[in-house]
Amino acid sequence: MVIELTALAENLIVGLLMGSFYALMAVGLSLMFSVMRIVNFAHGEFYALGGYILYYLTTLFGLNNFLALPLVMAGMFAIGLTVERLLLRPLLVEALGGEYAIITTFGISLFIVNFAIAFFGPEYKTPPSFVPIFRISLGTLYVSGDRVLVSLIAAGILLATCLIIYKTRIGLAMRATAQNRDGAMLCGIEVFKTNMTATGLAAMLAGAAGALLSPIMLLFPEAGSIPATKSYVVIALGGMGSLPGAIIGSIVLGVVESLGTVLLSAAYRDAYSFLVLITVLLLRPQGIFGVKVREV
Amino acid sequence: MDIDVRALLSRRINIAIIAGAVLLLLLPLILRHEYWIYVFTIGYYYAILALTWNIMAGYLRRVSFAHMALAAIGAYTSTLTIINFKIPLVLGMFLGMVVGALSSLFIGYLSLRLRGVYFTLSTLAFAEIFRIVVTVEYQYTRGSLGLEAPKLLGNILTYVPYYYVALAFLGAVTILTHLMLNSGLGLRVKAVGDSEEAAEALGINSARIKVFTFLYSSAIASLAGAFYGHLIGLVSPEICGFEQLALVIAMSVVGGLGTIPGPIIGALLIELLAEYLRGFGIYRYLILAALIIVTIRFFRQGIFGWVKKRVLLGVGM
Repeated sequence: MVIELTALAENLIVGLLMGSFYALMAVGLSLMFSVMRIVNFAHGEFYALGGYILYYLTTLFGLNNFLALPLVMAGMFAIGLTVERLLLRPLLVEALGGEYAIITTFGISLFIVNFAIAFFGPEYKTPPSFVPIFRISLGTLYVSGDRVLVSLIAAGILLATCLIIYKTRIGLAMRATAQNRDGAMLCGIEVFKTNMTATGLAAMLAGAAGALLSPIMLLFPEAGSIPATKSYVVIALGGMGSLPGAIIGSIVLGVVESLGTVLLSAAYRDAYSFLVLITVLLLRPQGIFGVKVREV
Repeated sequence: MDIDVRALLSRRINIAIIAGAVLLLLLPLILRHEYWIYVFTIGYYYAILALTWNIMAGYLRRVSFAHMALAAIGAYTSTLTIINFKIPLVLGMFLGMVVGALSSLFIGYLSLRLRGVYFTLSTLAFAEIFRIVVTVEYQYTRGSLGLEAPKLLGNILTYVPYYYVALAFLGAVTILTHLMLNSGLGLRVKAVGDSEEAAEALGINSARIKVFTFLYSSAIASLAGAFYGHLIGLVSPEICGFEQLALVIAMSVVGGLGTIPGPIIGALLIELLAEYLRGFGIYRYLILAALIIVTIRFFRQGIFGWVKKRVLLGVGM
C-alpha cells in the first residue's frame, strides 16, 4: 500500500507540473477567445512551431536555451500578429459567422503541420534540454528536478502575462474589448490593435510552452495536437474566456490525468480529458468560472 | 428588359445539373481505364461526406470535426459485426449507420444546446478519443494495421459496378438532401443557422433542429464510411485521419459552402487534383491547406457560387 501511495504522490506531482504547461497553452487560447470570440484551432501548431524555432536556434546557431527562449517568444509574437492581420481581421471586419474563423484556423493548422513535414522533416527531434536531468528526493518520493525547474519558468511567464493583462493599458484594453466590443470602441480603444496583441500573446505563450516542453516530450510536426486538445478541454472546464478558469482548469486536468493513470489505465491517459469535457458539459456547461453569456 | 432572374437562374442550373449527371452516368463508357473509374468511385465517397459536412457547416453553420470519426464508426461497426456475428453485409452496413447516428445523438445532446464553439470542441474531443480507443483496443481492431473488410460485391475484377453503386448512393443523398433543405424542416434549419435567437423568437425549437441536422448528416456519413470500408476492403484508423478531414473540409469550402452542388464539384475536382499532385508527395497537403485559407479569404462563395453568379446568370460578363 505504501508503494502505491508513493506512486500516487509522484504522479500527482507530475500532474501538477503538466498543469503549468497546459495553463500556458490555455491562457493564450482563453485570451484570444475572450477578446475576439475566436477559438484558435491552430494553437497546437503554434506550440510545435515554438519547439522547432528553439530546436533550430540551439542546434544551428548554437544558442543557449535560456537565450533562445526569449527569441522564440518574440518570433511567435510576430507570427501571431501576422496571422491576425492577414487572416483573422478580414473575417471580423465583415462580421462573418464563427464557422469561417474555425475553418480559417483549421486551415492554418493544416498548413503549419504540412509545412513542418515538408521543410523540417517528419521524424522525431529532441532539442537540447534546459537543465540536465536530476532528481530531487523527498523521503521516499522522487521528483525529476529538471521538470520542476522548467515548470517554474512556465509559471514565471504566466505570472508576467497576468501582470500585462491586469496592470497595463493594453491589458485594460483587452479586458474592455472582452467585456463589450462596441463599448470599448466607443471609449476610443483601437479594437483591432487589441485583437492583434491578443493573438500575438496567444501565439507567444503557445510557442513558449512548445519550447519548454519539447526537450522533455518529443518534437514532431503533429506534436501540438494533444496539448492543444487538452487546452480546449481546459477552457471549457474553466469557463470560456476566463483567465483564472484557464489556470485552475489546467491544474484540475493535470491532476485528473495523473490520478487516472495510476488508478485506471495508463494507455488511456490522453483520453481522460474527454471524460472531463463530458462531465463539464453535462453538469456545468458554463465552466467553473464561466458566466452565462447572452448574445443578442 | 423584364426577365425573371430567379426562374432563368434555376432553369440554367437545372440544365447544367442534368448535363453533369448524364456525363457521370456515361463516364465508364468514355474513360475505359479501371484506375480512373476507381478514382471517381472514391471521389463519390468524398462527395457524400463533403455534402453532409456542408449541411452542418454551410446551412446550420456549425463546424464538426467528428465527421470522419463517424464515418470510421460506421466502417468499424459494419466490419466487426460481419466478422464476429456472421450477419449479412447489408445488415452490417445498416448497423454501422445506426451506431454512427446514436453517437451523433450523444454528442449533439451534450453540446448542441450550447454556443457553436462548444459543439466544435466536443466533436474534436470525440474524434480524438475514438482514434485513441481504436488504436489501444488492439485485440478487437488490430490497431493501426486495420481490419480486412469483406468486399461489397464479392470478388469481381472490375470497379465499374462499384462506380454505379457509389454514383447511385451519391444521387440518392443529393436528392434526399435537396428535398430536406427545401422542405419546411430545411427552412427551419437555415433559420437556426442564420440566427438562433430570431428562430427561437419565431417559435422554432432550435435545439431540436440542431440535433436533427447533426443526426441526418452523421447517419449518412456513417453509412458512407461503411460503404468505403467494403469498397477498399480495409478498415483502419486512417479513415478518420487528420488528412481525410482536411480533404473533406477543403472540398466543401472550395466547392462552395451552403450549396448542394458545390461540395460535389469540389470533391471531384480535389480528388482528381490530389491524384495529379501525387507526384508532389509531401507538398500535397500544403497546397490543400493554402487552398482552404485562400478560398475563405478571397473567394468565399467557392466555385459553385462563382459559377452561379458569373456564368449561369451572366453577371459581370
